[in-house]
Amino acid sequence: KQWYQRRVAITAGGEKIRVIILGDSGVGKTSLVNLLTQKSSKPTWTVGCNAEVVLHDSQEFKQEFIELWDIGGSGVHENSRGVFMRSTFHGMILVHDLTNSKSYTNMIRWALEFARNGERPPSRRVSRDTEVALLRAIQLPVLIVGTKQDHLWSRSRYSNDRSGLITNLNANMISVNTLDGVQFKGSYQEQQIKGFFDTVIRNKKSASSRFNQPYYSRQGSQSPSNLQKYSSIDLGFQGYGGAG
Amino acid sequence: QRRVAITPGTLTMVVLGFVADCILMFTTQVMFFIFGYLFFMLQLFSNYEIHQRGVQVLFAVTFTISCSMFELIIFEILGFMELSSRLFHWKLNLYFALFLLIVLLPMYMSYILLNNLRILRQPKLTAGLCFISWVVYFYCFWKIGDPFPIMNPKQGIFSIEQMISRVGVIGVTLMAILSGFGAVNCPYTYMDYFARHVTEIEVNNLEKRMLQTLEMILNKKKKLVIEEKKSEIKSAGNEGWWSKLTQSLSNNTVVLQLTDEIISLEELSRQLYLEIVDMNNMRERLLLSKTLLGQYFNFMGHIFSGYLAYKIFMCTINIVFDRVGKKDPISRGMEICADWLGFKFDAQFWAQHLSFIIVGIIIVCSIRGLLINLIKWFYAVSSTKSSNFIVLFLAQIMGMYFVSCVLLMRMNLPPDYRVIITEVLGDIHFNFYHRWFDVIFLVSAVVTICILYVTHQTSPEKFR
Repeated sequence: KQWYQRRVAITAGGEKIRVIILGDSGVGKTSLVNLLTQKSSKPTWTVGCNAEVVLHDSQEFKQEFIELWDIGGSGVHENSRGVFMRSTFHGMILVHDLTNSKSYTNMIRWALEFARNGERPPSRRVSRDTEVALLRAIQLPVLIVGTKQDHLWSRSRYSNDRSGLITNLNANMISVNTLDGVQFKGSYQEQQIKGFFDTVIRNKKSASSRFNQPYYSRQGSQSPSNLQKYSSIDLGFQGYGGAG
Repeated sequence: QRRVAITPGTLTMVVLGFVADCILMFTTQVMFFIFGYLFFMLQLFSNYEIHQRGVQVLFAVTFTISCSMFELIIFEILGFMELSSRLFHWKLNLYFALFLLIVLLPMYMSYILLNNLRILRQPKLTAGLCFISWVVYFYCFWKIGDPFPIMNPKQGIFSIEQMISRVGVIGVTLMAILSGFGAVNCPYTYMDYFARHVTEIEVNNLEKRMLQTLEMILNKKKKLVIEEKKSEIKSAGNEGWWSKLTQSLSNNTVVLQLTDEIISLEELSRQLYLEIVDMNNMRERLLLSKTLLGQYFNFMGHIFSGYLAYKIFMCTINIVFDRVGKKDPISRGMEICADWLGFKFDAQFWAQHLSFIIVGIIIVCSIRGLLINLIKWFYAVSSTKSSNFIVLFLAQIMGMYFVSCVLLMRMNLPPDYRVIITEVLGDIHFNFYHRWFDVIFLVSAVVTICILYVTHQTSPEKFR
């Protein structure tokens, strides 16, 4: 019963776990956030950043607060979005629209923009190797969510990764119908998202515990690439055109 | 009149000439179609997947028809193709354009709208509703033309002139509104005089404030979740209805207060973000103004503001003194040259070349300006669901715009070249359209000046 007093102390103390949600305008990021926080409002275009909290509860981690930063994706605000990406994040969710194949290929642009910390892209085209290196340097757990699953008749037939860059993210993929909260509860997708949050928290805790170690043990500590990487679990893509 | 013996030889020559002209027109139309098709795919729908090819085809067809009408004007000036085939193609293009704008596009738009609403699944019911909505649209379209003095009682009810006059009214209104807005907005965005000075420090300060606001929002939301959990636990543990009631009341006040604070903080963060976007835009503009391109834009801004002042002056004079120019600028310019400056030159030769250059420039600028505006509006308004409907609406606007461009361009042509337009479009009151354009242009420019003045005055003081 006293857990809430402990929670208040932790909130004031600043142990924050942040997850950033990126994707094209109108794919359903805010709907997804509403689904996860069990709100039922019909959202309008997100201006700036829509910040929500989720109280995550699983077998491994009890009652952890996870901050979800849902960044508005409209192109008009492109020069100011970067301010949000400069904070430290511990997880990334990329959202695309199952009825719009362009939003799937645009996810790479979002990942690259995040990898550049919100800076404007260089005017010359970067080589593919640079892009691959940038993507691999995102040492964060990544989850890819496809929305509007209920729109079966206008489903895109081309959701495959033509550029081959998305595999560099080592991400898990799910597809949801963000408007149906009843069906989501206890479903397979909810388990996947909970597993993703578990990995995010595990990552954060192991990183912070390493930084808290005394200096002598840090001498022989591992390089950043040994950070616990989110291993890709091949679930089989539900209904995707390419690999299904 | 020459008398030509009509032999089979001359007949085949005439027919061959006509066929050659048709092939020429068709080739250029195919080129326009490909351009419109690619423009749709690469620029308009660059972020959306194209589910319905019909929309893309219809957009490209509208673009093709408009461009071929402009092409026919150019051919008129240059004297390409036989007169009879030019007339034939004019009529063909015009009738097809009217069919597109009045029948095909509205029908397709209502079909898409009804499909999107997802109420009905049967195709027959959808088709019936489509037809009914088209009839309603046509009735409104007809009624628009009533208050204007463009109906000629000599003509029948459903004649071509009636349709053209109504399309012309709508298109000329659009053109005038866009011209007025553009003529004012262009100097405002180009000239450095109106650029606000924004330093990086100010932007950083605002960004810090916004991030702090976000932190506060997140803390309050965490507290809210804790409070809600607290009340759950407490109400689960409490016996008796009185203690339950008091508990729920006291918790509710805290919850409501937190919710109110969160809502106001979120609104604040949105306003801060919009201000940051504005300031970043200003900074980009300042950076651009230091380059060569920026200085060129600044110079052009001064020229355009001079042109705007001249145009407003001329429109006012036209309206006040109720005069419409009878002579086109080219002939008048040459008259002035001949009378005052004493130049004697071959009027015919120069009229043709000058008309060609000026009309060509006007056409290219109109097309380019409209396409750029289409892209801007489409990105601002569209979403995945409404993209098809909006693009068809924009195609309709584009068609009407270009048809009235042709109508108004008649005044810019020397009398020799006006003949064919007058003949094709029929006996409509051209003077009315010029007057209507002047009025709407004046209104639009003045309204834009007022709006820009108000926003310019109020914006710098918001968050300093």
